[in-house]
Amino acid sequence: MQAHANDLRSEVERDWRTVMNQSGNEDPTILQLDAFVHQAVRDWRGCRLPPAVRALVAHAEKVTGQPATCAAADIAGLRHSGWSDAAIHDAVQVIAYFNYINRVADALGVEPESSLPSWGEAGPDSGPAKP
Amino acid sequence: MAWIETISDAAAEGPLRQLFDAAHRRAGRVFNIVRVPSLNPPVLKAGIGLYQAVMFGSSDLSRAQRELLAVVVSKTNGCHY
Repeated sequence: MQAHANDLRSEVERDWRTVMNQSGNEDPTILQLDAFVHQAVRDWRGCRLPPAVRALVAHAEKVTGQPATCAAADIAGLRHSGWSDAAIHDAVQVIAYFNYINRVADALGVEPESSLPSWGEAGPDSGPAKP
Repeated sequence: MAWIETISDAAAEGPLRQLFDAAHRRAGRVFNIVRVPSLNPPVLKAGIGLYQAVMFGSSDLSRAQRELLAVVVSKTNGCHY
């Protein structure tokens, strides 16, 4: 999670509009970008996400936690949110890939990258905590 | 250190050497998650290929959206890495 929180932080800086529901026309500040990633790590439900992204992320949680309960209605719901079938497919590939690689990491004792900042522990207005 | 043997940069040879060199070109180092399959270079190569296609390939999803999904899945699994 931490390695990709760091990647998320890089990506929201260049492309925040696809994941952040920012009020007004101004770009988010550095602190707001940091806060978004901290919140995503702590609990994504607290993030201000566009409704379509919120639906996709909720589906990621379902596929990860209760994959056998997935149904055609879930896909219909994502289409209703505005996602193309190609986007839904690609999202499921991302979700499945991380379910795979998370298990590789946890089953073989892959250590965190000591050089990366730690996300999620600091307060919402703080920058990344140093390890 | 992972719980299984892994191969250091200095000891890598042949196809593994090529994969590690590519990792250095991409990221400046070999991340721990890239090193852990080093005993089986074909699996490492296939895994990197899937990762790059899924996370960096052309998609209707933005890079940020894909990274957000990665964070949420890893959080749901309780995977710190």
